[in-house]
Amino acid sequence: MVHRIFAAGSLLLLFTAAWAAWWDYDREWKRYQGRYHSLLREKTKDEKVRQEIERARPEIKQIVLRSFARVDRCVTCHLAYDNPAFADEPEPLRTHPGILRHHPAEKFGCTVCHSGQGEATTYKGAAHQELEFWERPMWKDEYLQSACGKCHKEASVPGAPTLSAARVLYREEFACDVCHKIEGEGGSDGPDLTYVGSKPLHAFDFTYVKGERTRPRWFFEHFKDPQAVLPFSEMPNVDMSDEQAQAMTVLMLSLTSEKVPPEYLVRESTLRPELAAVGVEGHSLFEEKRCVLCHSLRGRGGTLGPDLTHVASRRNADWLFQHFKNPRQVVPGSRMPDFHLSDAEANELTRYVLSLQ
Amino acid sequence: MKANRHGEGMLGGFRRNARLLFRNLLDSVVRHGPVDTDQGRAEIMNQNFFLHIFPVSVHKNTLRFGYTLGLGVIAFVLFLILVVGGIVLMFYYVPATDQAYQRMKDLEFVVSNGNLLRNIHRWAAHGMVAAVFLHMCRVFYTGSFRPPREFNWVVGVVLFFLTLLLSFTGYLLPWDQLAFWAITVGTNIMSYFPFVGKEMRYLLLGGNEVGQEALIRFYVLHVAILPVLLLAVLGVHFWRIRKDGGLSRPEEDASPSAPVPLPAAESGAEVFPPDTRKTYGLMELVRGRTPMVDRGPEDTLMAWPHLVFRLLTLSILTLTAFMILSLLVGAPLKDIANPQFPENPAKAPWYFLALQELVSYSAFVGGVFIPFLTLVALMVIPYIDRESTGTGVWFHSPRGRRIAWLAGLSTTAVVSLLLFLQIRTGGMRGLYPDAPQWLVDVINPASLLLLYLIVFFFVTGYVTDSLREASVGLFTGFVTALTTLTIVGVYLRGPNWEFFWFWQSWPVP
Repeated sequence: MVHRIFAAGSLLLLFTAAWAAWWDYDREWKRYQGRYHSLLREKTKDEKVRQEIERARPEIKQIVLRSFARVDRCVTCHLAYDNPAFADEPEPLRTHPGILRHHPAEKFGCTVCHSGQGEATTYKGAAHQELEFWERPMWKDEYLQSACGKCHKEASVPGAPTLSAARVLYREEFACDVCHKIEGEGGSDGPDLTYVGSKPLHAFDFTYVKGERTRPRWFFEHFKDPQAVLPFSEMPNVDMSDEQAQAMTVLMLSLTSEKVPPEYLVRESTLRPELAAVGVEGHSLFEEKRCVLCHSLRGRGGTLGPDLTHVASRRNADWLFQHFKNPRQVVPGSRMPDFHLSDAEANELTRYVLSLQ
Repeated sequence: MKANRHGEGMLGGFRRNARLLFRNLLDSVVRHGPVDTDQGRAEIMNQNFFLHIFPVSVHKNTLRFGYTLGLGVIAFVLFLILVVGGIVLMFYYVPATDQAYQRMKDLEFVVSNGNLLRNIHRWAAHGMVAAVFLHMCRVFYTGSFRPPREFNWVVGVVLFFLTLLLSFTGYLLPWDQLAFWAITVGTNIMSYFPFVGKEMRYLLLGGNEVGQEALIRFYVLHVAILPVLLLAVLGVHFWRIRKDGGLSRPEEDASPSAPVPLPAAESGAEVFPPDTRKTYGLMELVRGRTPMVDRGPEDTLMAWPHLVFRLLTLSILTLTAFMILSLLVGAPLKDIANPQFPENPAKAPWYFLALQELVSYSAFVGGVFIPFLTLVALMVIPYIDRESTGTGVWFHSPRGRRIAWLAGLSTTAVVSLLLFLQIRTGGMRGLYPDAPQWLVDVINPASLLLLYLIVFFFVTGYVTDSLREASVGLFTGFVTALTTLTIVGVYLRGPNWEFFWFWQSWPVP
């Protein structure tokens, strides 16, 4: 009797061990990587690429963002994100739209803009849809613009019309700041909205919300008719149109408690006007010294040095001046050459660069 | 050239030893002889480091599955799974509030077999709490705590508390909402303990609330202090089993027994005929009555292979069962811990939910009086009940079995009734909103339940005139109440600790 139990138990243990090994081996992302490589083989004629495909083994790919203390493994499946040949393929193997030029993946990763669970390596786990116990599901369509607002604090955000419109609505049309605070500014009759986009889902009262239980839904319904969602709310019903309510929802979703490193923030310029005036001579110096060989301006130029499109929002006049006079004294190890500019030339160049907001 | 003892030269000796290398290596590792004699079987047990904690031969009752249910062994196997798996998990875990949760996600998504490791660690931990508790019940119901084993019972109670503490400290480590609020609630219950409760809580958390200090303290307790402590006390527990004369068993006739036919379940096993040529020497000193006293050795079976084989089988079954469970059911992991947004309901780990339920009636009675009384009662049982009749028999006697049934059923009814009244009326506070706190502490479901158990104990004691049977009733009532309240706490309590049936969904938050 004991012998039989022992034999059956041992067999079962063997079977279970094999099951566990298969369970661990059989991963969703391996299938996508396989499909990517076979598509790539069809698309390329380059012998070197073909050899690389032959050598490729399934592996987790990830973008480590130290400044955000996060790791995005989305590219484990979305392998073609930076390969233009995949523009017409279905997801997950489609090329990412052009915005990556200004927001390089190495710097922004994926979830900084898209939200979702970057650690995950499964479709479900990545929170493409709402996922239980993950507070930041991916935002789609116009809600995606909420992500821009995490870094872009200026009134008008290029490429994000809904968010920009919402900022005008917030301050001018509805004067929300009379009652609500964002980052310390505004009244205190209504709740502080600084982190309202990161409020846990279960902290929302969905009792009177029709449809699915998502944050966008709650905000939208609440903007359309505050008292219908929260019967005792003191918030005035301002008769928003659907578009306005949607824009305001985007704005709310952009107010997260995610920590954005200061160097990512884009703010309204606080420079004195006379300094901000375009320095004409500086501009010609900029051309003359061929700065664009290494630096890019609004998508045009080299990549050896930092993108200068919004450099004035990050650097002040003093820093720029010193840096032009002697780059390595200000940034040790900098690859920028010392152009031996005179004080006047450095001044003019500073004035010009300060106009690049 | 000198010849060696085999008369070979240097080269010959080299060839010979090279040829026998594997055989000699094997002989040096496995030192016992062939295993077709009892001497060989005894040598295996004696000379093997891992087996020498077992006796060479064991009484047949020790091997009866229906007697022990293998619970102690299962608990130990689970402990081994937890130690081995836990050490592997330590390679991946960082006890920092900004990293711990991410490490759980790494285990889930990228670490090889990370899911299995995490799941089996979770389920084996719950399983160990359950197995140790059931083992304690088994030892109680078979009267195995009686002299000379009374101190080993106390050691066992200490082991049970160490197991609870290990599980509790591990509960915080994933740093999700479940962990954070369970530990917050658990340590709050602790702080009700008189005089030192608040200080104990401060010491454990390294502050007044759960945070980084608490996490590192729980981690060090969980991976270093408590396991080593448990291992040391476990050593004492095992040592005591040997020195107190092995596992308990029923009294038998004093006459030296004839060869004992094995129970039907054992019929496949080999029985060794009595050997008149054997001589017996004093092998070790144990207190109490060993299998050798007053009778022949024939009620015993050689530990190799009978005991060892059963241990191996039970270990394999336990490991397999928990692996299958871990492959089918994932360990829970909620959102990352957020001190600003409490879970509602915030529940302690399941083994403290009966306590949390009692605390919801009265913090003093549920959080202090009853736990303290239980602890004291558990510790002193073996010093109060020192008889020997009925030892080794489940529930002591057929009447004891009936009393256990009566206690179990009646306690279920009493708990249900008290719960019904509490929910219907809102308790003392619901009936008389102005009632003073001492009245709430005196009249509430927790104290009424305690009163019922005590009355039951004395009435059965009076009717049966047997301390043992009365305590079987009391213990059964206690275990039943604990189980019922735990089920209520786990499944029937929703937001704001309100009562919901299984089929009722909680209100949308």
